[in-house]
Amino acid sequence: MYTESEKPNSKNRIKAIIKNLIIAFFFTSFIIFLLTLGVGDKIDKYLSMINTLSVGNEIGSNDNVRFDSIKKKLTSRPSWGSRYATLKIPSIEVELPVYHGDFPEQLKDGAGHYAGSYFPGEGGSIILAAHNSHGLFYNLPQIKIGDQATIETIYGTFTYEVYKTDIVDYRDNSKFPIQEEEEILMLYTCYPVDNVWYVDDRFVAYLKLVGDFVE
Amino acid sequence: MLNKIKLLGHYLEIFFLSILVFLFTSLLVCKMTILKEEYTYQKISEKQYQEGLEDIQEKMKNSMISSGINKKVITDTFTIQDIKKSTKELLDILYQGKKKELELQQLEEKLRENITKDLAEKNFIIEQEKGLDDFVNSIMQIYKDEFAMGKLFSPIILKIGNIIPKINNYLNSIIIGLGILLGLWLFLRRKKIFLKISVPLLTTSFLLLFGTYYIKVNSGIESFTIINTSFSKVIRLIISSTFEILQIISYIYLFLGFIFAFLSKKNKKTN
Repeated sequence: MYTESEKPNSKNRIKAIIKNLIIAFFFTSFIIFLLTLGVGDKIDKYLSMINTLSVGNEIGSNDNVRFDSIKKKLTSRPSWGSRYATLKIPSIEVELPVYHGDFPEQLKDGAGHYAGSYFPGEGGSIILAAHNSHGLFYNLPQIKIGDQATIETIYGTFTYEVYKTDIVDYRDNSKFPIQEEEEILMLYTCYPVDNVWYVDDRFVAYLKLVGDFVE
Repeated sequence: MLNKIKLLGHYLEIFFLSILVFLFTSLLVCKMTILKEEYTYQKISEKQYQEGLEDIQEKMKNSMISSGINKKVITDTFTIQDIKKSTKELLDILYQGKKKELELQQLEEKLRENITKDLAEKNFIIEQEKGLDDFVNSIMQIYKDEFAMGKLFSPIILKIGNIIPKINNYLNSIIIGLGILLGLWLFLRRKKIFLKISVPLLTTSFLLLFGTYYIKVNSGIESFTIINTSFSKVIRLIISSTFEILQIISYIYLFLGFIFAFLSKKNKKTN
């Protein structure tokens, strides 16, 4: 004999489905809560590490790119492979397009922005690379302390000043620190510039942000 | 009082069963996809090999701009068969951890031969073999770098190659253990299966959907970019196909959860 609430009619079946959905939802929330308490920090840490190496790969315009000057953050990044800025270093006669990405297709025509670094204005490390050919970074080793460089981006212009130069081994990651305390621009190219093939050394110029950005 | 204890016992049982089903499903999917060498190998298409070859050749050509050597040497030396062979070797290093480097001896000799031929055609005489050795080494270094086996990334790849086989071994034991537990439970509770299984299926479905969505949104993992374009595309492909499988399973579990909940009213009766 069935009780009223246990009769297998449509109403009770729908109630059973809803009841199970609610219990499942509660269990899910509880498990997520336990995970957040236990390993939430580690999960966020690894996800943000992956995030720094994840770039939008839509080919298209950068119309949605906006810079929040109060939060010092881009609302959306320039699309991967696109030109988003011009780098100018008058003292060594350098004027190059800057592309988001540092793969061969970007480095063919200008300076490539290393995807794991910050963008101009975001207050962290920015890494730009270019080949040591004429018309690209051939003149970079002639840069001096005190020389200025500007990056005219699609969201504003930023000015930097050289405070240090160095010749480093490309495997030494400590010479290309990714940090978010201070806006440091690192420009590098293969060194010596007259080499005829691949070399291990890189000439690096380190620049600090000077002044306010100009929209 | 006894009824309350029975009720608590029921909810505890289905809670732990939910965790069991979730772990069993997600670990099994990872074992059969992202942690399986054959799965990764089959996902790489001809187009990706071709793109990989073009990426590598482009970098090599850029690095020898001032050398005077014809760029045709690069296209004659490095073919799609070499890319396929090196890709298989890289996967063996990653998934089996037995090999420690790519086998590039033949490729190096082919490159040296082609460079010597090119220089001979231009009537250049190689007076210092060391110069040629350095050049060949630098080109081969680029090749290794593109497969993440250069000096910068190879320690990481070798580390992963040490870890993945161990993970696979542990996972085998864990999955078998979980499978036995689930099987035992299904056998012991077969009369009340409709009553008990719906919530675990629904919970697993919600967890899989939430988990894949959370990882996608917060890591941008489907736009992951490292080493070069073709390498990144392969990683993205493996990850997105694994996520797809997890999502399909979550919808199946959602459907089954509804069905079992619907049927749970069929058998319950009191005297």
